[in-house]
Amino acid sequence: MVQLERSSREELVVDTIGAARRGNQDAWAEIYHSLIGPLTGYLLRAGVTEADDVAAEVFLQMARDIHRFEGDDESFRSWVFVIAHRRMIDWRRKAETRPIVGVPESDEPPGGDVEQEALQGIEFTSLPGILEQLTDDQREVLALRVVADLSVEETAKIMGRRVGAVKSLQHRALGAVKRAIDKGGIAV
Amino acid sequence: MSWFADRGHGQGSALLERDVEILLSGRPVGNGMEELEGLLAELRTPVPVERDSPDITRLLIEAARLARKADLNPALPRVATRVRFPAWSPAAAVAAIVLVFGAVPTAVAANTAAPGDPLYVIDRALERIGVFAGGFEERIAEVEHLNDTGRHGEALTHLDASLDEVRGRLGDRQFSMAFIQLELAHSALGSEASDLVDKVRRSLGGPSTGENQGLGNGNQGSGNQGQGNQTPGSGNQGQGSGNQGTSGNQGQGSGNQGTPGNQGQGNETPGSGNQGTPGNQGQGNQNSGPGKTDAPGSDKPGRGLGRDR
Repeated sequence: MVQLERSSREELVVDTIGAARRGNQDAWAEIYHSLIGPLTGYLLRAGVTEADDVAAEVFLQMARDIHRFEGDDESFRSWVFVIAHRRMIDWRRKAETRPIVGVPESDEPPGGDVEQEALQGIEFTSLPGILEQLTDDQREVLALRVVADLSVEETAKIMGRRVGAVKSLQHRALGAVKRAIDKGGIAV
Repeated sequence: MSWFADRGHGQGSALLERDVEILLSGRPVGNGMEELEGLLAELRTPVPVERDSPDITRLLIEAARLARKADLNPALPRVATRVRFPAWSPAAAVAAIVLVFGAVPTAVAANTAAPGDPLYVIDRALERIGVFAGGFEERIAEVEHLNDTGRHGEALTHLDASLDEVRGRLGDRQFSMAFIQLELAHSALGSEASDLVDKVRRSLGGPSTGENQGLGNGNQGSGNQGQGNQTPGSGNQGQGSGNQGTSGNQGQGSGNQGTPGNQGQGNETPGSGNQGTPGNQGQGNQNSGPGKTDAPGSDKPGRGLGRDR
């Protein structure tokens, strides 16, 4: 039986990672239960609508690559979110090229206030509505810093940016959120 | 003063630089930031996720299987997740120069490296990022190289380690090539390698040694005997014996029966003065598909692929 321990952040001990590397299913269950929440939350907040499916893909990719991983529990968590970030990018690319199906053609002629109709569909004072107004990068930096609880250095590594750039990005993201709140949720 | 405060953005209190890290870490800053704090707290709240279901159980089983497989048969040696120079130093400067001026020739040299060579790790790393093709053909070429240089055990081990790449791309021709390699390695290593040979063979979809009675004795490549001497007066007498044992053609017996790879090539011109020149020995490769495994002049009976038809 794998020795399982948890810190306050539910981090995985190295023993668990080693057991997972050798194919121990209990260890994989421990990893899953420790990370699936933050992982799914990160993907959802970063705008991935199929977060459960992508999280499962991340998990299997971890299993394929864990024999190459070396490091402690901190770097393991960071390593997992590197994989998640790449899968999220892949998902976005696919989503951009995915044909829209199931939308019935309207007999009505084009026209009307499209922007107004779109705005009516979003509740801007809610968390999803406010996140919707951010750029992809702004959403992701908040997801990594707040949801995944990663440091600015880890976030920089995952996003492939310099630490200074991430600090600037997170400042802009929070600024955009605050402006949305101050303006009563109206898009800026 | 923050960027936003400088420009007067926002209608409430300005978001100061020092407040950002405090807010992101979940601590309160007050001063008109309560709504933002509340929204970040909501963002921090764990999303509800399914923790136990048949799908999750299947996922865990599959993850454990994949990890076990990768651990037992890693494609590459484990590498550290980060490589970092301790500080800018003369050593780092030299490394940078070598990297800049030596990268291309090193990469080219690495592409031809075989397992065991110092550059082989670089070769595999470059393949992984798509610089060189890699894949089945290169793995087989490496196996051949090891086998040709007498490193039969390494050849077989390398083939075993490359099964993932091999299995995904096996066509008929490659299938034959892989089995030829197996047979050559097996014959050179003797019975002590039987288990490994069996494992690889089963992985490639073939029968195990126990099912492989006769090791393809029906493939004895007799079609090549003396073919280099068909032209009268060519002065090639004696070369026929060299061709008789060309195992490359023997191996073809399984997939290419009736394809006379060596017929008279190089000797068709009467009186060409080829006496004693083993002009036929390598030429069988041109027509033979898997003929790269030729052992010119060897008089061993053809073992073929062990897949008698």
